[in-house]
Amino acid sequence: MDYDNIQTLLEKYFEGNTSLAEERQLKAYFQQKEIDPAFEAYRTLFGWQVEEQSVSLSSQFQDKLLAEIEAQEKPGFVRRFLRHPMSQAAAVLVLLAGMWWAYQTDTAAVEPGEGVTAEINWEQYEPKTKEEALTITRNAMVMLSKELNRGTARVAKEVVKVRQLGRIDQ
Amino acid sequence: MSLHYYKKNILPISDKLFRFALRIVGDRSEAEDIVQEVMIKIWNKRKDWEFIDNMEAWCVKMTRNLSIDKLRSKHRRTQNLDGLFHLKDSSATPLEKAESNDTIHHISKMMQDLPEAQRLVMQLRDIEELSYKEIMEQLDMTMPQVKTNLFRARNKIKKRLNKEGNGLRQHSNLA
Repeated sequence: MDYDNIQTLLEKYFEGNTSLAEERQLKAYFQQKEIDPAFEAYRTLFGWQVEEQSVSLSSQFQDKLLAEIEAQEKPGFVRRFLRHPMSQAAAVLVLLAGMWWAYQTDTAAVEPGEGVTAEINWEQYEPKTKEEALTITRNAMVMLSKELNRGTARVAKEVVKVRQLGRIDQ
Repeated sequence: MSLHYYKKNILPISDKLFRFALRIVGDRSEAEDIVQEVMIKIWNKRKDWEFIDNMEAWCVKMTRNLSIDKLRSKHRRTQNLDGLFHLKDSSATPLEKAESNDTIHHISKMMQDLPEAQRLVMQLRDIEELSYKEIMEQLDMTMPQVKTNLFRARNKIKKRLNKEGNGLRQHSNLA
Protein backbone atom coordinates (compact mmCIF):
# COMPACT_ATOMS: atom_id res chain seq x y z
CA MET A 1 0.00 0.00 0.00
CA ASP A 2 1.42 3.40 -0.92
CA TYR A 3 2.13 6.35 1.33
CA ASP A 4 -0.82 8.46 0.18
CA ASN A 5 -3.26 5.64 0.67
CA ILE A 6 -2.11 5.01 4.25
CA GLN A 7 -2.01 8.73 4.97
CA THR A 8 -5.63 9.06 3.82
CA LEU A 9 -6.74 6.03 5.81
CA LEU A 10 -4.98 7.30 8.94
CA GLU A 11 -6.65 10.70 8.61
CA LYS A 12 -10.04 9.03 8.19
CA TYR A 13 -9.29 6.75 11.16
CA PHE A 14 -8.49 9.59 13.54
CA GLU A 15 -11.58 11.49 12.37
CA GLY A 16 -13.63 8.38 13.17
CA ASN A 17 -14.72 7.93 9.54
CA THR A 18 -13.12 4.61 8.55
CA SER A 19 -15.13 1.47 7.89
CA LEU A 20 -14.31 -1.78 9.66
CA ALA A 21 -12.68 -3.07 6.44
CA GLU A 22 -10.43 0.02 6.25
CA GLU A 23 -9.48 -0.37 9.89
CA ARG A 24 -8.48 -3.98 9.18
CA GLN A 25 -6.32 -2.71 6.28
CA LEU A 26 -4.52 -0.38 8.68
CA LYS A 27 -3.96 -3.20 11.17
CA ALA A 28 -2.56 -5.40 8.39
CA TYR A 29 -0.29 -2.60 7.16
CA PHE A 30 1.20 -1.98 10.60
CA GLN A 31 1.87 -5.71 11.04
CA GLN A 32 4.50 -5.51 8.27
CA LYS A 33 8.18 -5.29 9.19
CA GLU A 34 8.94 -2.48 6.75
CA ILE A 35 6.68 0.55 6.94
CA ASP A 36 7.14 4.17 6.01
CA PRO A 37 9.12 5.89 8.82
CA ALA A 38 6.55 8.72 8.83
CA PHE A 39 3.97 6.32 10.27
CA GLU A 40 6.24 4.62 12.77
CA ALA A 41 4.62 6.46 15.72
CA TYR A 42 1.36 4.59 15.10
CA ARG A 43 2.86 1.10 14.84
CA THR A 44 2.42 0.45 18.56
CA LEU A 45 -1.24 1.51 18.48
CA PHE A 46 -2.27 -0.90 15.73
CA GLY A 47 0.09 -3.61 17.00
CA TRP A 48 -1.52 -3.29 20.41
CA GLN A 49 -5.01 -3.60 18.91
CA VAL A 50 -4.09 -6.85 17.15
CA GLU A 51 -2.45 -8.25 20.27
CA GLU A 52 -5.41 -7.32 22.47
CA GLN A 53 -7.73 -9.30 20.20
CA SER A 54 -6.03 -12.48 21.32
CA VAL A 55 -6.32 -11.76 25.07
CA SER A 56 -8.42 -14.57 26.49
CA LEU A 57 -9.53 -16.27 29.67
CA SER A 58 -7.40 -18.99 31.21
CA SER A 59 -7.68 -22.40 29.54
CA GLN A 60 -9.45 -23.94 32.57
CA PHE A 61 -12.13 -21.24 32.73
CA GLN A 62 -14.76 -22.99 30.61
CA ASP A 63 -14.25 -26.36 32.35
CA LYS A 64 -14.54 -24.71 35.77
CA LEU A 65 -17.66 -22.82 34.74
CA LEU A 66 -19.39 -25.86 33.25
CA ALA A 67 -18.51 -27.94 36.30
CA GLU A 68 -20.09 -25.30 38.52
CA ILE A 69 -23.23 -25.16 36.39
CA GLU A 70 -23.53 -28.95 36.35
CA ALA A 71 -23.07 -29.07 40.13
CA GLN A 72 -25.90 -26.54 40.50
CA GLU A 73 -28.13 -28.60 38.25
CA LYS A 74 -27.37 -31.96 39.91
CA PRO A 75 -30.55 -33.08 41.73
CA GLY A 76 -30.37 -33.95 45.43
CA PHE A 77 -30.51 -37.52 46.74
CA VAL A 78 -34.30 -37.53 47.25
CA ARG A 79 -35.04 -36.24 43.73
CA ARG A 80 -32.64 -38.74 42.18
CA PHE A 81 -34.16 -41.58 44.24
CA LEU A 82 -37.73 -40.67 43.27
CA ARG A 83 -36.96 -40.74 39.54
CA HIS A 84 -37.46 -44.53 39.34
CA PRO A 85 -41.05 -45.94 39.41
CA MET A 86 -40.03 -48.70 41.87
CA SER A 87 -38.65 -46.08 44.25
CA GLN A 88 -41.89 -44.09 43.97
CA ALA A 89 -43.93 -47.22 44.82
CA ALA A 90 -41.63 -47.96 47.75
CA ALA A 91 -42.00 -44.39 49.00
CA VAL A 92 -45.82 -44.66 48.89
CA LEU A 93 -45.69 -47.97 50.81
CA VAL A 94 -43.41 -46.45 53.45
CA LEU A 95 -45.77 -43.48 53.78
CA LEU A 96 -48.82 -45.73 54.19
CA ALA A 97 -47.01 -47.92 56.71
CA GLY A 98 -46.04 -44.82 58.64
CA MET A 99 -49.61 -43.54 58.71
CA TRP A 100 -50.92 -46.94 59.86
CA TRP A 101 -48.28 -47.10 62.60
CA ALA A 102 -49.12 -43.55 63.75
CA TYR A 103 -52.83 -44.42 63.86
CA GLN A 104 -52.16 -47.62 65.84
CA THR A 105 -49.92 -45.79 68.29
CA ASP A 106 -52.49 -43.04 68.77
CA THR A 107 -55.44 -45.39 69.49
CA ALA A 108 -53.38 -47.76 71.66
CA ALA A 109 -52.16 -44.86 73.80
CA VAL A 110 -55.69 -44.05 75.08
CA GLU A 111 -56.94 -46.54 77.69
CA PRO A 112 -60.74 -47.01 78.07
CA GLY A 113 -62.08 -44.37 80.44
CA GLU A 114 -58.74 -42.47 80.49
CA GLY A 115 -58.72 -38.91 79.21
CA VAL A 116 -62.54 -38.66 79.06
CA THR A 117 -63.82 -35.45 80.65
CA ALA A 118 -66.62 -35.47 83.24
CA GLU A 119 -70.11 -35.46 81.79
CA ILE A 120 -71.93 -32.11 81.93
CA ASN A 121 -75.40 -32.08 83.40
CA TRP A 122 -77.15 -29.75 80.95
CA GLU A 123 -80.48 -30.15 82.77
CA GLN A 124 -79.36 -27.74 85.49
CA TYR A 125 -79.27 -24.89 82.91
CA GLU A 126 -82.76 -25.51 81.55
CA PRO A 127 -85.57 -23.16 82.77
CA LYS A 128 -87.95 -24.89 85.13
CA THR A 129 -90.95 -22.49 84.84
CA LYS A 130 -92.59 -20.38 82.10
CA GLU A 131 -91.59 -17.13 83.88
CA GLU A 132 -87.96 -18.18 84.05
CA ALA A 133 -87.99 -19.01 80.30
CA LEU A 134 -89.58 -15.61 79.53
CA THR A 135 -86.94 -13.75 81.59
CA ILE A 136 -84.08 -15.56 79.87
CA THR A 137 -85.56 -14.88 76.40
CA ARG A 138 -86.19 -11.20 77.24
CA ASN A 139 -82.62 -10.74 78.47
CA ALA A 140 -81.29 -12.35 75.28
CA MET A 141 -83.42 -10.03 73.11
CA VAL A 142 -82.22 -6.95 75.06
CA MET A 143 -78.60 -7.98 74.58
CA LEU A 144 -79.20 -8.54 70.83
CA SER A 145 -80.88 -5.18 70.44
CA LYS A 146 -77.97 -3.40 72.21
CA GLU A 147 -75.45 -5.02 69.85
CA LEU A 148 -77.54 -4.08 66.80
CA ASN A 149 -77.73 -0.46 67.97
CA ARG A 150 -73.98 -0.34 68.48
CA GLY A 151 -73.43 -1.70 64.93
CA THR A 152 -75.82 0.83 63.39
CA ALA A 153 -74.08 3.70 65.21
CA ARG A 154 -70.69 2.57 63.90
CA VAL A 155 -71.98 2.30 60.31
CA ALA A 156 -73.49 5.79 60.58
CA LYS A 157 -70.13 7.16 61.77
CA GLU A 158 -68.28 5.55 58.84
CA VAL A 159 -70.84 6.95 56.36
CA VAL A 160 -70.17 10.46 57.70
CA LYS A 161 -66.41 9.93 57.25
CA VAL A 162 -66.83 8.66 53.68
CA ARG A 163 -68.99 11.68 52.83
CA GLN A 164 -66.32 14.00 54.22
CA LEU A 165 -63.66 12.27 52.14
CA GLY A 166 -65.87 12.57 49.06
CA ARG A 167 -66.11 16.31 49.63
CA ILE A 168 -62.35 16.60 49.94
CA ASP A 169 -61.88 14.77 46.61
CA GLN A 170 -64.33 17.06 44.88
CA MET B 1 -31.38 -28.09 25.28
CA SER B 2 -30.54 -24.97 27.33
CA LEU B 3 -27.05 -26.24 28.02
CA HIS B 4 -26.49 -26.94 24.34
CA TYR B 5 -27.59 -23.39 23.44
CA TYR B 6 -25.44 -21.98 26.23
CA LYS B 7 -22.33 -23.84 25.04
CA LYS B 8 -22.91 -22.92 21.41
CA ASN B 9 -23.97 -19.29 21.68
CA ILE B 10 -23.00 -17.85 25.05
CA LEU B 11 -19.74 -19.51 26.07
CA PRO B 12 -17.94 -18.33 22.90
CA ILE B 13 -18.44 -14.67 23.87
CA SER B 14 -16.82 -15.16 27.29
CA ASP B 15 -13.40 -14.03 25.99
CA LYS B 16 -14.93 -10.86 24.66
CA LEU B 17 -16.67 -10.22 27.99
CA PHE B 18 -13.35 -10.85 29.71
CA ARG B 19 -11.53 -8.23 27.59
CA PHE B 20 -14.37 -5.82 28.24
CA ALA B 21 -14.28 -6.38 32.02
CA LEU B 22 -10.48 -6.15 31.95
CA ARG B 23 -10.70 -2.78 30.22
CA ILE B 24 -12.84 -1.52 33.12
CA VAL B 25 -11.26 -3.10 36.19
CA GLY B 26 -7.68 -3.42 34.86
CA ASP B 27 -6.97 -6.67 36.71
CA ARG B 28 -6.94 -10.12 35.09
CA SER B 29 -8.09 -12.23 38.02
CA GLU B 30 -10.79 -9.77 38.97
CA ALA B 31 -12.01 -9.63 35.36
CA GLU B 32 -12.10 -13.44 35.27
CA ASP B 33 -14.17 -13.54 38.48
CA ILE B 34 -16.57 -10.99 37.01
CA VAL B 35 -17.02 -13.02 33.83
CA GLN B 36 -17.62 -16.18 35.84
CA GLU B 37 -20.28 -14.40 37.91
CA VAL B 38 -21.90 -13.00 34.77
CA MET B 39 -21.88 -16.38 33.00
CA ILE B 40 -23.56 -18.04 36.00
CA LYS B 41 -26.15 -15.26 36.22
CA ILE B 42 -26.90 -15.71 32.52
CA TRP B 43 -27.35 -19.45 33.04
CA ASN B 44 -29.65 -18.89 36.02
CA LYS B 45 -31.82 -16.59 33.91
CA ARG B 46 -32.23 -19.16 31.13
CA LYS B 47 -36.03 -18.95 31.41
CA ASP B 48 -35.79 -15.32 30.19
CA TRP B 49 -33.58 -16.03 27.16
CA GLU B 50 -36.51 -16.26 24.77
CA PHE B 51 -37.54 -12.69 25.65
CA ILE B 52 -34.09 -11.21 24.97
CA ASP B 53 -33.66 -9.66 21.51
CA ASN B 54 -29.90 -9.24 21.52
CA MET B 55 -28.18 -11.77 23.75
CA GLU B 56 -24.66 -10.40 23.23
CA ALA B 57 -25.70 -6.83 24.07
CA TRP B 58 -27.45 -8.14 27.20
CA CYS B 59 -24.30 -10.00 28.28
CA VAL B 60 -22.08 -6.97 27.66
CA LYS B 61 -24.41 -4.73 29.67
CA MET B 62 -24.43 -7.20 32.54
CA THR B 63 -20.61 -7.39 32.45
CA ARG B 64 -20.31 -3.63 32.35
CA ASN B 65 -22.65 -3.10 35.31
CA LEU B 66 -20.96 -5.74 37.42
CA SER B 67 -17.47 -4.45 36.56
CA ILE B 68 -18.42 -0.90 37.50
CA ASP B 69 -20.02 -2.11 40.75
CA LYS B 70 -16.85 -4.03 41.67
CA LEU B 71 -14.67 -1.09 40.78
CA ARG B 72 -16.74 1.31 42.84
CA SER B 73 -16.86 -0.99 45.83
CA LYS B 74 -13.13 -1.50 45.94
CA HIS B 75 -11.86 1.98 45.02
CA ARG B 76 -8.55 0.65 43.90
CA ARG B 77 -8.40 1.25 40.20
CA THR B 78 -5.16 3.21 40.18
CA GLN B 79 -3.32 0.72 42.37
CA ASN B 80 -4.46 -2.17 40.18
CA LEU B 81 -3.32 -0.52 37.01
CA ASP B 82 0.10 0.17 38.42
CA GLY B 83 0.30 -3.44 39.58
CA LEU B 84 -0.88 -4.77 36.26
CA PHE B 85 1.30 -2.84 33.92
CA HIS B 86 4.36 -2.35 36.17
CA LEU B 87 4.56 1.22 35.00
CA LYS B 88 7.53 3.43 35.57
CA ASP B 89 6.80 6.67 37.36
CA SER B 90 6.98 10.07 35.70
CA SER B 91 10.58 10.47 36.83
CA ALA B 92 11.71 7.81 34.33
CA THR B 93 14.61 8.88 32.12
CA PRO B 94 14.06 9.55 28.39
CA LEU B 95 15.92 6.32 27.64
CA GLU B 96 13.58 4.32 29.88
CA LYS B 97 10.62 6.03 28.28
CA ALA B 98 12.00 5.14 24.86
CA GLU B 99 12.36 1.51 25.86
CA SER B 100 8.83 1.29 27.22
CA ASN B 101 7.42 3.15 24.24
CA ASP B 102 7.38 0.01 22.12
CA THR B 103 5.54 -2.06 24.64
CA ILE B 104 1.92 -3.04 24.57
CA HIS B 105 1.61 -1.95 28.17
CA HIS B 106 2.32 1.60 27.21
CA ILE B 107 -0.73 1.83 24.97
CA SER B 108 -2.77 -0.03 27.58
CA LYS B 109 -1.90 2.69 30.07
CA MET B 110 -2.94 5.38 27.57
CA MET B 111 -6.25 3.58 27.17
CA GLN B 112 -6.80 3.34 30.91
CA ASP B 113 -6.20 7.08 31.19
CA LEU B 114 -9.13 7.79 28.86
CA PRO B 115 -12.56 8.55 30.35
CA GLU B 116 -14.63 5.39 30.68
CA ALA B 117 -17.07 6.07 27.83
CA GLN B 118 -14.24 6.85 25.36
CA ARG B 119 -12.27 3.81 26.50
CA LEU B 120 -15.19 1.41 26.10
CA VAL B 121 -16.22 2.74 22.70
CA MET B 122 -12.64 2.41 21.43
CA GLN B 123 -12.42 -1.09 22.92
CA LEU B 124 -15.57 -2.25 21.15
CA ARG B 125 -14.62 -0.65 17.84
CA ASP B 126 -10.88 -1.22 17.53
CA ILE B 127 -10.51 -4.53 19.37
CA GLU B 128 -13.90 -6.23 19.12
CA GLU B 129 -14.52 -4.72 15.66
CA LEU B 130 -18.19 -3.97 16.23
CA SER B 131 -20.32 -1.74 14.00
CA TYR B 132 -21.49 1.62 15.33
CA LYS B 133 -25.01 0.21 15.66
CA GLU B 134 -23.79 -2.68 17.81
CA ILE B 135 -21.79 -0.28 20.01
CA MET B 136 -24.90 1.88 20.44
CA GLU B 137 -26.89 -1.14 21.62
CA GLN B 138 -24.24 -2.52 23.92
CA LEU B 139 -23.38 0.77 25.61
CA ASP B 140 -26.84 2.37 25.52
CA MET B 141 -25.55 5.37 23.61
CA THR B 142 -26.83 7.37 20.65
CA MET B 143 -24.96 7.35 17.33
CA PRO B 144 -23.54 10.89 17.86
CA GLN B 145 -22.33 9.87 21.34
CA VAL B 146 -20.58 6.79 19.92
CA LYS B 147 -18.89 8.81 17.16
CA THR B 148 -17.88 11.67 19.44
CA ASN B 149 -16.41 9.34 22.05
CA LEU B 150 -14.49 7.41 19.40
CA PHE B 151 -13.18 10.60 17.79
CA ARG B 152 -12.02 11.99 21.13
CA ALA B 153 -10.43 8.72 22.26
CA ARG B 154 -8.46 8.20 19.04
CA ASN B 155 -7.30 11.82 18.97
CA LYS B 156 -6.08 11.76 22.56
CA ILE B 157 -4.05 8.63 21.80
CA LYS B 158 -2.76 10.21 18.57
CA LYS B 159 -1.64 13.37 20.37
CA ARG B 160 0.23 11.36 23.00
CA LEU B 161 1.86 9.13 20.38
CA ASN B 162 2.96 12.14 18.31
CA LYS B 163 4.23 13.97 21.39
CA GLU B 164 6.25 10.97 22.50
CA GLY B 165 7.44 10.32 18.92
CA ASN B 166 8.78 13.88 18.72
CA GLY B 167 10.39 13.51 22.11
CA LEU B 168 12.09 10.32 21.01
CA ARG B 169 13.38 11.84 17.79
CA GLN B 170 14.85 14.78 19.71
CA HIS B 171 16.42 12.37 22.21
CA SER B 172 18.00 10.21 19.45
CA ASN B 173 19.27 13.36 17.65
CA LEU B 174 20.97 14.48 20.86
CA ALA B 175 22.51 11.04 21.35
